[in-house]
Amino acid sequence: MFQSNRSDFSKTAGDRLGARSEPSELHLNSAPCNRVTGLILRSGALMMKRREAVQLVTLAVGAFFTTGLTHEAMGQAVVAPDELLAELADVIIPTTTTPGAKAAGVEKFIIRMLRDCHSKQDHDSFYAGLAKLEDECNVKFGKSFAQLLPEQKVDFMKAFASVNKPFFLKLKQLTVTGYFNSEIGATQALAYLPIPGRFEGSVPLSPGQKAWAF
Amino acid sequence: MANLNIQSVVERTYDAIVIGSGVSGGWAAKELTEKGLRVLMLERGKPLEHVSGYENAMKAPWEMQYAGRLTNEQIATHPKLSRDYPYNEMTEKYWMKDVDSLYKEEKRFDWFRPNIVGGKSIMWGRQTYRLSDIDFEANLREGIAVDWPIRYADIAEWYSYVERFAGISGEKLGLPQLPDGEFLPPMDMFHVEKEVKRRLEKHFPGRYLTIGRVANLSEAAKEQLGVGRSRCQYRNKCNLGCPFGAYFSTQSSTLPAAAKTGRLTLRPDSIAMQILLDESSQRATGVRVRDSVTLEDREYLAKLVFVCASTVSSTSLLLNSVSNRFPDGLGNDSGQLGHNLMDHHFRIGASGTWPGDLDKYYYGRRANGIYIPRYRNLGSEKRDYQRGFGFQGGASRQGWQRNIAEMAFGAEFKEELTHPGDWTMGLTGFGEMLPYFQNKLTLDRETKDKWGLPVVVFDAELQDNEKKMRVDMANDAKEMLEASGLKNVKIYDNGSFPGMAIHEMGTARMGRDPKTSVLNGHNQVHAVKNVFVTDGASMTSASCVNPSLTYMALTARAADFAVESLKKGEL
Repeated sequence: MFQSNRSDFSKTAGDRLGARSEPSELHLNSAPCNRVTGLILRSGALMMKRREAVQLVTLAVGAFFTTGLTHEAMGQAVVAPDELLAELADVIIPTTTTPGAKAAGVEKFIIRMLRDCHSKQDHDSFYAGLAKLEDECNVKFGKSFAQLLPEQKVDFMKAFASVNKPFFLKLKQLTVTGYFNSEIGATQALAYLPIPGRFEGSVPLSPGQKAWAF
Repeated sequence: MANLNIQSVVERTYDAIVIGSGVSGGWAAKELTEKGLRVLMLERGKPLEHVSGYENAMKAPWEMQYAGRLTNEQIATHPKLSRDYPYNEMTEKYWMKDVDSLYKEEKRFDWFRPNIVGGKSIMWGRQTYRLSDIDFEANLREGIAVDWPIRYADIAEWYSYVERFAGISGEKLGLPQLPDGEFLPPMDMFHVEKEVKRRLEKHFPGRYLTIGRVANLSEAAKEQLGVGRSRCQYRNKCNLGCPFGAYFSTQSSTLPAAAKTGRLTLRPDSIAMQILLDESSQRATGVRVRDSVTLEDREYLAKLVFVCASTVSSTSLLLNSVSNRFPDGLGNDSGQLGHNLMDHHFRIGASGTWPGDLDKYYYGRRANGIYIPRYRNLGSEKRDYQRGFGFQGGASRQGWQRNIAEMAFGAEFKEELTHPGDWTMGLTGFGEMLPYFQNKLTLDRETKDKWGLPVVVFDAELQDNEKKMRVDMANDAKEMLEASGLKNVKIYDNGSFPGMAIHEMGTARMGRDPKTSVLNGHNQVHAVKNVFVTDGASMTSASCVNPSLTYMALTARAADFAVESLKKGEL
């Protein structure tokens, strides 16, 4: 339960933020982002409206993503980056007649690529985009992207992508590359033929025939 | 103690030393051992065993960590190599760390340095074409540089000789500008390529489109079976090393042949520092070698030295072999050593989409493309530049990498990507670069690399002739593709710097006159008759065709001459 010594600093702090002392606006529930909010506030921060609190969450979550903190360090407050990326990738390449990006573990590839093959600037910019996505999702739905219904995920992704195009295109490119190089992608979604043994330049393509994996 | 010294000298004495184990060095080792000589082949790179050494050759895509991409760390240690595709996640172990020997660039030069036995013969593109008299006569006819000291008739039988052993797949065309070779059956073409060929040849009489001539075994003849090779499995992972020995490399072909004689000693991790000269006889006595691991030097002695270290390294070795007789580098009476550096210029052409034929696909992955031989400046035609270019290219169906719709995602998007896309076809021009004296490499003797060798300084660039040629290369590609029915044809020019084609040649050129060349018509250093340079360094002009086949032929021919000379006591 939130406890703050409001009487000591609410005047100055509240004046600075232009907030009113409305503890009921910060109803603490079990939603992950509000647990973070609660943590920040418990550490002696200010009384504030939900929006400001969520802005603080963005900072915290952003820091969480970029510094690679674990669940434990933040007290199981938010969806971990790999889980979130898995969910996002799975919207881009969902399970159809073949398993999708989450089943293929594409998020591991994405994280590895960002960590080892991208500049610090591109890496940080991507994770900032990720944090912003979660932030806006929380504002709109009060929950993490991971917890949305499938149709909500698609709609939200569409809307977010059009406003944050570079982030979306990078996410998409990494997801597609990771998926079609994965074992599931290469052997199930595509036709995997490691040793063809011969070359024929012209063969008929059957209806519905899959493309060669490489 | 005297006995130990004598014993040590005996152990370090061979009939011949071959410096380099790549395309040229491997051939020198094979020819010289087969002719009865005890040969020491030195290679600065690491050991790489045939088949067992090809760690990544059979890996599945999901066994890669980065889908083939380089890490930040790799880019930091390979700042030059990371500029282009040959150095990637899967070929990491085959290439040298640039930072170990950071060369200098007055002008940009992309130098691709392997770090393995076999050199670039493991990673090469395997396109193999003969030079013609149109090439051999060009310098003389145009008053450029110096005349080649040989003609096609001198080398034709050697082309046949090396082709028969190496195994070259291709189609005969009967063209004077692209002499036919000894061919294994040609590889198949895609329907689109066949159709484009038909239309192009009809629309542009005198121009031809053929399947690439490539050092992959469409069939294994007895010469290849004899060294344990088998035919191509159409995996198209050649540059990782072939467990089937299906393409020509030192490991698959020349090394087993040489090893069979029992007269070959291969010493990897061995950097040739200097060719040792006996000034009174003006003959090389051997090579000073630095072990790349222990940094200890040893001298190896021989009657005959074949320098096959790859163009830049061979010339650098000669430049570094300084003596009273040769203060400017071994054999450098002419002052030409290091000069006339050439490469092919490319990364220019066009590509477009082929409408239809979506019911046609292919089986297998062809490690080869199509080829359009040179047609410019032949006969009476006179463009605003000299020499000419050929095109490499090919068709394919787009894969999952294609951009369906930028913002698309989801089930339908995924479904579409699991099927092949449109047919596309492209042409990339490879143009001849003239020999210019001012295009050169030198050594910076003040700056030493990790092993104590002076670093190379490059100072070469495309000149007017090349730039004018590139205009045709782009426009012709577009014109031919459009005339053949491709749609939405776009020109591309991704810029070409010397070194990028990895066909760097010249700097120790052959010529008739010792005053203006380093080597004679037998690849023999004019002034030091028992030293032969038979790799790209020896080239007097570049032609527009891939040069490795010519290095093979020059090497085999020079080895034959060298052994005959030895027998006659002339060396």
